[in-house]
Amino acid sequence: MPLFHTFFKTLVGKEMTIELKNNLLIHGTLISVDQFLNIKLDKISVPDPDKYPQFLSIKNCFVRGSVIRYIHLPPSEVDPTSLQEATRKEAMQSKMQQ
Amino acid sequence: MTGEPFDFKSLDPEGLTSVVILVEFVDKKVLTLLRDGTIYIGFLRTFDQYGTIILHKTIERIYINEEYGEIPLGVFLIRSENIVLIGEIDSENEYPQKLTLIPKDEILRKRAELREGTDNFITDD
Repeated sequence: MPLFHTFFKTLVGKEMTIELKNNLLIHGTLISVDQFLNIKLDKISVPDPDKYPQFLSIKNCFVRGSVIRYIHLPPSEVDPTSLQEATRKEAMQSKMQQ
Repeated sequence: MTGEPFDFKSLDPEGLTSVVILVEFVDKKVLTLLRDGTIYIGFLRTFDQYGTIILHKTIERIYINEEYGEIPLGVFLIRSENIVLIGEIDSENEYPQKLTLIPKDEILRKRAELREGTDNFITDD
């Protein structure tokens, strides 16, 4: 299973902010993520709701992975050491397969 | 529509080949925001492995400053690359209370005024 898909699955239930390529920021709780890193957030909020009235009408949202620029994660939920190890492991496995 | 709801997850239990998280939106009223800023509201009836969706009883909603308008359109197929986000409509807040609903002709006229002088062209950004 791809590394980042697995990684984001461990973050289900955590709060995060997604920055889209149109510069919109959406804050919410991660509900689910798929292999394209399409993301579904619950309890969403945007910094300036008056500017984006469409967000007042929805309670959760699915964001297409390809329109996401950054995902701001809570630092306490990310363990760089284990991510590095997982990356090495994956690199080793793909070498073995060659 | 009658009978048991179709079990999409049975086709792909691991979620490896389809945009499986769209399952939870099927037959719900959703708001779809496209890359050009267009907003369509309708019932999501089906989707495919690319994330193409079909909306039923679609309306386009246009927001201009403190006003908004709605244009009934019918059935829409939306190719996934144009989609930015899909949100489930909160039935209590479906209509923006702070804003005023104005007739279709009026909102279209206001949008035409705003767009005057700008060409319609397909952008790929």
